[in-house]
Amino acid sequence: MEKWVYAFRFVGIGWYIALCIGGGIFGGLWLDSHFGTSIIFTLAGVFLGLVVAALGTYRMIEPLIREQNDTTPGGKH
Amino acid sequence: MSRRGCGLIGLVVLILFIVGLAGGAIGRGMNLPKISILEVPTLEIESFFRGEEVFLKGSAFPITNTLIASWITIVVATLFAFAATRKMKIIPGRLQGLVEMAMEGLINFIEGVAGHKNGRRFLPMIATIFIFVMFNAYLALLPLYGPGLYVSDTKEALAPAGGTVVELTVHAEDEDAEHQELKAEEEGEVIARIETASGVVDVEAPKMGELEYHVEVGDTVEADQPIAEITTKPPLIRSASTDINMTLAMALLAVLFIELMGLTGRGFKHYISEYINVGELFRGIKLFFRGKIVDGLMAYVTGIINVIIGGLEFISHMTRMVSFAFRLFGNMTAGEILVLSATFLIPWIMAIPFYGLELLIGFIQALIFGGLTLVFASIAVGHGSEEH
Repeated sequence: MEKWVYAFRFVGIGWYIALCIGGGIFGGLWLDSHFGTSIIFTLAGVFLGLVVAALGTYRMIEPLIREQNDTTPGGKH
Repeated sequence: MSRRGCGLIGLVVLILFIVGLAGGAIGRGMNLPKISILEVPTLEIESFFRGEEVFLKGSAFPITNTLIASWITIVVATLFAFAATRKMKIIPGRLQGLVEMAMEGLINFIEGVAGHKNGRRFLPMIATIFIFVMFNAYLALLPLYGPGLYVSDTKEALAPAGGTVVELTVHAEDEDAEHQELKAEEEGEVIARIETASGVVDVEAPKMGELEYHVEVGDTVEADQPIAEITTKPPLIRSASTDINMTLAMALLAVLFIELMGLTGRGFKHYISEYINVGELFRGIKLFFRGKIVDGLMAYVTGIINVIIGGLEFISHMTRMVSFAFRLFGNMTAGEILVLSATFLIPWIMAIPFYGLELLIGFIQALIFGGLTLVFASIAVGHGSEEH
């Protein structure tokens, strides 16, 4: 049953990444049009979205990585 | 089954396939002879994200066709449960046996993920989600649903001002066809031009749909005189899961349930510290002012990282709602369109394999929606409190 749990946890990862990057881009575009700047907020939004997506994804798969390290023969028990 | 039986069924399927091919869109493209009893179903979804209003149109509480479908689902599921549990016996009959088997499977699945104690707490919500989504998907395969049963909805396009009609802008796609069906492709499309005293004005379509003109070029019209009539035929019942409002409402409920379980399972302080984790930050500031500069700075940096992680956690919880809503909506709408397209291409035969696929997808979507709620809820109450 444990495998089920992991499978279900990873179903939403794609959405998470897409929404983070998309949210960053659209938030940046909105800020750019609001302040009349050309691209600086959009770029910042893309970067921020990418960072948030990467960090969040790492946090989601962290338990799995840790568990795998624990169960491999070389890993700590 | 005997070989003769198989051959007979194969022959019937083959005949149906050939007749269907001739009647469908593929056959029409290949210029096969037309068969009048077969009408090619129109492939049209008037509103994509939400159901069409069929009763109490334009009021504060319009009844959409998807809402009707969800009512039907509730009634059918309730009656089914009632019928299965009305005369319960120790040695179950067929229906009772089926329901017991399904419930046992659900309980085992939920307890396997969340443990015995939490599993029993989660069961009502998860089982409700699972049963509702699955009944929705399965009932939507009945011929009562979809374009077979429809309500006719007519709107008139009125002349904005009096004058002479100079042009009717919508023309038939196929000029040689016997029945010239006119169509307004979108809302606000210009369907006629009228020359008034102050210049030429456009008449716009109030919505998309089949178009029928009441006037001809050269006619004189007065202001607010109907120029044309636009008719749509929204289905009376449309699968409830093809309405984003329904799936979003369910996603909201699921996410609320998850957060509530986290709140009650772990206590308010623990729960809130997952999002707003400032303990380490304050400790760092305190140490800093006591003169332990290095320790204070270290705690301060860890505190900032904790705050960022709290923000990440919050974002990931909120994206769940969107993913829940759009996953179910997307899968169900895609299935509906797939079956409709298959029927459109080759009527009768082509849709059957896709019906089988839809049965599978309905089950899988119910499992995913329920299972995800279950897994997130059991993560929210914390791994430590599980007993296996």
